[in-house]
Formats: sequence, structure tokens, C-alpha cells
Amino acid sequence: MKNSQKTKAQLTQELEALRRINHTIGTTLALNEVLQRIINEIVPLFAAQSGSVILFDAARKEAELTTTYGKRAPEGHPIRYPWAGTMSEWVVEQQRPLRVPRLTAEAWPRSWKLAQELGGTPEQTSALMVPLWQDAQTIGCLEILWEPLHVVTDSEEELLVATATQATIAITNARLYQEKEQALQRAKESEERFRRIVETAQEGIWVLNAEAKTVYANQRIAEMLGYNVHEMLGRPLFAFMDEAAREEAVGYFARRKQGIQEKHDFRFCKKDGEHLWAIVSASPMLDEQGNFLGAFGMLTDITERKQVEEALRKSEARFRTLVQYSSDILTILDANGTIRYQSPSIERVLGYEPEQLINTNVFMHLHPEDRQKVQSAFAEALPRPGTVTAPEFRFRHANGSWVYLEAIGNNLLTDPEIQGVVINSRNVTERKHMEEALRESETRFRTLIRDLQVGVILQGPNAEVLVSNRAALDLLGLTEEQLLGKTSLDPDWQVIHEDGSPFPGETHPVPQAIATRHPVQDVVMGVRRPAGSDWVWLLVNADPHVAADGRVSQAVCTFIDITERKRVEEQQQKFHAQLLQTQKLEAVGTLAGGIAHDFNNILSAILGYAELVTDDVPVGTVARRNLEEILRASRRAKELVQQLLTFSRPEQKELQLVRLRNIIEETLTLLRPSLPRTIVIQSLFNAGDETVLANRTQVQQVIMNLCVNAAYAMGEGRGSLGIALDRVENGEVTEFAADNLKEGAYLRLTVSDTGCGIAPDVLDHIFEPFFTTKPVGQGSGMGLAIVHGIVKSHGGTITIASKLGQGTTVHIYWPLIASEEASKSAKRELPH
Amino acid sequence: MVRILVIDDEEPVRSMIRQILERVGYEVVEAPDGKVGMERFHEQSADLVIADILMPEQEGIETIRILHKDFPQTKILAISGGGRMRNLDILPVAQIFGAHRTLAKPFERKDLLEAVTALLT
Repeated sequence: MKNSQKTKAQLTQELEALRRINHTIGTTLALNEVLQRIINEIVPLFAAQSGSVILFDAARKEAELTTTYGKRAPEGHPIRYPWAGTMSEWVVEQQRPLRVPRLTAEAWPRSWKLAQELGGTPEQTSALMVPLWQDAQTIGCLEILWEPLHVVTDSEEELLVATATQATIAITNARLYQEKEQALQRAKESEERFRRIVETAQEGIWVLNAEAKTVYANQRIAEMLGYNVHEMLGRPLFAFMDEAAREEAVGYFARRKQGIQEKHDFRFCKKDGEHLWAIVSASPMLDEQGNFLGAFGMLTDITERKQVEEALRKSEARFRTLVQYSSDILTILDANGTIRYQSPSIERVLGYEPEQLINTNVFMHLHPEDRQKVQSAFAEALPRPGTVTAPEFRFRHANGSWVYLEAIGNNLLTDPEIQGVVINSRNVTERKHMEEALRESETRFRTLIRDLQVGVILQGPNAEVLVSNRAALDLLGLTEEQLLGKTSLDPDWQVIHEDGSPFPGETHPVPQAIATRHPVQDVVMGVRRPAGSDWVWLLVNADPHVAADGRVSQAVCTFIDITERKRVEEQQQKFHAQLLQTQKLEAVGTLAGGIAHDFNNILSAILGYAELVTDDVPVGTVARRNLEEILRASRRAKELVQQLLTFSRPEQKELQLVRLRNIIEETLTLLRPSLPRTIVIQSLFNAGDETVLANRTQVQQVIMNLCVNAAYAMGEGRGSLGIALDRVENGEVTEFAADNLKEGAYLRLTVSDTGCGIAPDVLDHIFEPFFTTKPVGQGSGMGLAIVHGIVKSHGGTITIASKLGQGTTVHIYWPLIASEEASKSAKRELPH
Repeated sequence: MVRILVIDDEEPVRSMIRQILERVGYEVVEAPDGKVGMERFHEQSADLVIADILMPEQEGIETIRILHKDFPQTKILAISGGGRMRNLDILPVAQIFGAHRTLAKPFERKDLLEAVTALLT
């Protein structure tokens, strides 16, 4: 329908609609609102059923049903669909309005489908689509749909085109606004983000103006410096450092002015006076003309890092000092053994300056005897990273002497920092010397122990034998098997005290030492040796080893053989006693001798004068008889004195070669009749043919005396009288030595009986003159004294041994004389 | 008449010997010590000298020695108390020095007379 054909009412309506659309456009920016208003106004104008604004997405070739009016209005959602095969596509391509009298499936398959989907009847639908143009592009279209079919007029098309123009303007405005809004939003967000970054940065942000005054400082820099932000604003850079740093800062700022951007360390002063170390990334700020506006700096706090560095530096310095002054020598070798690093301490230990050794081969400095083993150890360690201990070796001192070193090596060839074998060496020369001295001392000690013939036995806490030395076994007469494991309480031991009393195991030195935890010293023990059943005398010491907890873990028993010593001691005691005895007898003898002389003189007078008087007194008178008594008594006195003198100095009579056996046999013949039948005489002559130089009478006297004593001891009871003769050398005689038996051979006469025996205290006095156990009148007590005197004068010795109740044995030793000499001395009177 | 010189430091001994000897008819001269004895001997020599050899001055031995040396014909009978002098038995010593016989005190009369008779025959 042409415009001219339109009614005034129609035109008015149209204009009104357009006006309202314009108004809307002018007052509303909300695109949806605008488009909705457009559609709402337009569709009724066209008396159509529905209409829509379709916007195109050129990039995706999609159309979007954004705004609709009419019964085809879907609920809420715009519909997007690819425009391929749709009326929209045609409009996009043709860029002019499209009239579709009837929406057929053949012509517009997709549109037809869409229409159906949206609830319409496409076959009954007519459509008019008009493009929306913007910037020479079709950005969408307006669509009007009639149902039932309608023929679109030109004026309808013109109207829609006009509307489309309005719509396009509205859309463009809206978009622009939207874009502006979005841009603004983005800018806002961006600024916000930036601000947030700047505000929350770990870095301090500091902006200075051209006079170096603070125009901006973020929270962080303020914190770093210990201030509030507002305290910093307006203050110059130089206010935040100490005097010493200011000059440096001025220099830095000058470089900003020169347009130099750089990164550097700087030390600031915090509000509390402490220091702040920071890395400063500083940039100059210039305007378009290149004028200096100020400086922008980002600061990173590295105080902590600096402190760690400082600590590390100090620690390193300390370490260096340690290495330098340590007595250990630090050496680093390469895989060939060449010295790459040598610590300064080598000078003190080996006399070299480190430089002298660098690049020399370490093995060349070692003692030739040690080289091999050290090289082996080194070679072994090379393929194996880790620790290796080198044996001890000798290293040549700068002065040529050898120093003992002990080394620990660490193979760090694979460590990128070291790439070498680190050797830590220590001077052990002194230690080695001490070890050597100890070894020597030990050997000496061991030898001493061995040679001392000291028995050493180590016993455990129960006195069981753990270890014993050779001497111990020898002294005890045991084998190792026999001794090991035995204790002092073992019943096999036969042990006695010095006096012969039993020595029970519990009281032995080792059990005592263990019990009291104190050493026991100098205990004499008599031990029976199992082998020969002989006794050995030991001097025993026991030392307990008391552990820290007070328990005795071991005891050491040491002993020496004192059998010989004891024997000698016993002998000495005997000799001493005998010597005393002899001296006593000699004293008595001297006394006797002295008295005898005067006595003799006195007796001489008595006897002599009495005899003279008898001449003048007739026989038969009382006087005569009295005189006779005087004479008799005098003669008896003379006898007595003679005997006394005989005792002290026996009468010297002729000495002859006397065959003792003969004398014995003669004496026995004389004696036999006067002995009781109950006494048996036994004689044994092992040396019967020997002769001695003796006074025959005196020998007879001796033998007679002894036999009479023996017979008296046996009384009337049964008994046996033994007489023996044998030859002995003076060395064999062990009973005595006090008389100093001269060297040579002796004839031993033994007279023994099985009588009542002699008590020990009587034995002590038996040779004393006048000593007798016989009742008064029955004996003079001179018998044995005389015998003793006779034997002594012959150069012999007499001993008596006796046991009460068992019997007595008398030994007399007569010196034997060799034949030639014997004949020479026969019949010679020897002065005493 | 046979003369006998008796030298002894004890008077009772001298007197006793004198009486014994005089009763059987000998002439006896006494001297208390060796020195006097020798004087007496020089005055009147004796056939027999009986001397106690253990006199204080120990001149008995000396007297015997001199007598024996100078007057070998004179018989000497040494008598002694029987003691010891420095562990030496005196009588054997006397014999060594020239006494022809020795006699120990106390002697019985008969012993003395027997010794004297033996020496003088």
C-alpha cells in the first residue's frame, strides 16, 4: 500500500508508534527494553501475529531470537540457531528486505522447522524480514509474521525499514553504552587489581618526586622501615638512612636523574634504629619530554638473608681459623694422590709451608715401608665414595725425621664442590712412643714374672682358677688341666700352717682376699705336691680386683717357693740351739776346769797330809779308822774331780788306730750278761772295717756308757738295742753344722733303743755335767757329759734324737783317717 | 844321799811333799818359785827336781826348760793342779820342754813315790 493510500488515522498511528520508539530510545539505554518496545509497537501496527528482533553473530553464523512479541513468544529465553538455510541467512547475504508470502518447507526448510518448533503453522504464515544495518553490516533483522497468509505491501515494508533504522540506532547506542560501561568496569577492576597488588605487594613500593621526596609509599615499605605510611609521605629518601649511607644514596639518585634504571643493595635505617637491608629496583620516571619527574623503586627486604650471610661469613671465618690452627692436618688429594690443598697447620706438625706440598704426590713423602699399604688403601677407596681409614704411616718432616700420622680419608671425588679426597691427619708420634714404651715395659714385666719363678694365678670371684703361669704349675707340681677350675676349697688340697696344723680352704689367702676385699700378704702355706707326696712351702700373697660396684671380679694370687728358705731357717735354728748348747757346755767346762785346779790343790793337801798322819796312827785304833775314812773320802773326791776334768778336758791318753767294730763287739760281750733277757741286741755293720784314731779306753767308755743308758731306758720290759756303724761324708750330715764338722769322711756309730725316750726339755740339758734323771745315788749325771767330752776331743760330734714312749737314737761321728796318714799318727800323743 | 828339789808356790804342798819324801829317806830342798829354785840348785845341785809348772809367774815351764838344757842329768818331775792354760794341757807341754814325767794333783803318796823311784833308778 502506498503512503498516499494510507489513511490519516493510519499515518497518525504510525507516527505515534515511531515517536514512542524514539522516545524510548532517547530515554532508555537498556537494549532489551528498547527492542521490546519496538516490537511491541510495530507488530500491532502491522496487524501481524508476531514479530521479533533477530540479532546476528557473524563470527558464528548464528542468529539469535532476542525479542519477540506475539503468540510465538517463547518463555524467557532467546533462541540461537545457525542461520544456514534460514530467511535470516538470505537477509544477511542480500542485505535487503525479504518478503515471504508463504513459509514453505521447500523454500525455507529450516525456518519452516523453526516456525513449527515455536508452535506455529508455517504453511499458513507469511513473513517480512528487514535487515538492521550498522557500519555497512547487517547486524540483525526485524521479522514480522502473519498468520493467516498476508500480502505484504510496499508501505508496510517502508514502515518496517524505518523502524529497523530506529532499532539499529537503539541497538548501536545500547551497544556503545554497554561497551563503555564494560570498559569502565574493566578499567575500574584493573585499577582495583593494580591497587590491590601495589598495596599488598611483598615488595615495598616507594615513589619519589624530582626532589627525592616521598610521594607514594605502600604499606609494605612502611612496615619494612617501621613507619606508618603517612609518616613517610613528603619526607625525603635520605631521611631513612644513617650518615654513612647518605652519600651513596645521593649518588644513586643522581643516576636516576640521568635516566639510569638499575638494581642494587642498600642499607636503610629503620625507625627503631635497626638496619634494613634491601634490594632496590629503581627506575626513573620521565614525562613525554624526557623531564625527570622522580623515581620509582621496588624494594625487597633481605635483612634476614644478610644476617644469614653474615653469620655464614663469620662461621666460615671461624672454620677457617679452626682449619688453620687445628693440630689436625687437612689435605685434599686428587685421584692420583696429588696434593691440591694443604691446610696451614701442616707447618706446625711437619715443618712445611703448604705451598711446598701443593701439586706434589703425597705418597712420595711417606716412609718407604709404609708407602705400599697406604697406596693400597687409597686405591681401594677411589671407586667407593665414603669414608676410609688409612693405617698409621710415617711422613717425612721437613727436617728429615719421621713423624707418625694417623689419617681418616673421605672420598669426595664425586662431590662437585670438593672433587677430591679429603684427608684428616693427626700426629700420633708421641702416642706411638708411649705404645712402644708400654710394650717394652710389658715384655720386661712378663720376662720378670717368668724368670722370677713366681707363681701367678688368676682366680675368679669364687676363687676358681682361671689362668696360671708356668711357674705356678711347676711349684705346685700340677699340670694345667689339673689346676684349671680348682678352687681353694677343693678337697684335693692338703695344706698346713707353719706349725703343722691344718689350713682349711676358706681361710686361704684368696678366699680371704675375696671376702674382705683387701689384699692378704705373706702367708706361709705348706702344700703337699700330689706327684711325689713331698711338701713344698710357699709364701703367698692374694690381691683382689674390686670393680667400681664393689664386687670382686678377680683375685691375683702370687707365691714363691720358700721350702729351701724354710729348710735353711730350720737348720739355722737347730744350729743356733746347738751352738748355744755347745757354748753352755764349754762355759761349764771352763768353770769346771778352773775350779778343778784349785780343788786339786786342796785335795792334794787333804789326801797328802792324811796319808802322812796314818803313819803315826797305829792300825786298829779308832783314830786310824777315822783317818782311813778321811782318806777314802778324799780319794772319792779326787775321782769326782777327775771326772769333772775329764769332762772339761779329757785325759789325754794314747791315740791308736782303733777298729770301732772290734771295740763294739768286745763291749757287747762284756755287756750281754748284765742285760735282761727281754732286751734284744741288734747290730748292723755297714762300715765295720774302718778305723779311727782314738783312745781305745775312751772309746770303750763311750760305747759302754751309751749301752748302759739304752738298757736303763728299756728297763725290765721288752726292748731292742740297736748298734750300727756306717760311713758318711760331712756333706751328707744334715742334722747339724754348728760344730763345724771338718770336711771329710766320718764313721757314724748309732746306738738306739726302744725305751721310754727322753722329753724335749731334758734333751736340752742332757750333756750337762751332773744332770741326771736318775734318783739320787744312782747316777752321777756325768756319763753323757764325759761321752760328749771324749767325742769332742776326738774331733767328732754326738747327737741325740728321742721321742717319748718310743725310744732314743744316738749318733756319734768319728772322723775317719786315710790309711797312710793313719799309720803315721799311730801312737802319737796329740796336744789338744 | 839323794837330793830332791821341790819347787811349788804353795807352802802346804811343799811341806807335804817334803814329809813324804823325808820319811823314806830323801833329802829335800824347797823353793817357792823358779828363781829361788834355780839359786838353790846352783848352791846345791839336786838329783831330781819336782816342779809345779802352773805357778803365777808361769816360770815353771821356763825353769824346766833351763834345767833340762843346762843340767841334762837332773831328772825332772812336773806336777800340776790339772787345770788348763789357754786351752793347752800343761803336762804334755812340760814333757815337751824336758820334764821326764808328769804327775797330776791330787796324787796319792804311793803315786809320788813310784814316780820318784822310777826316775832315780
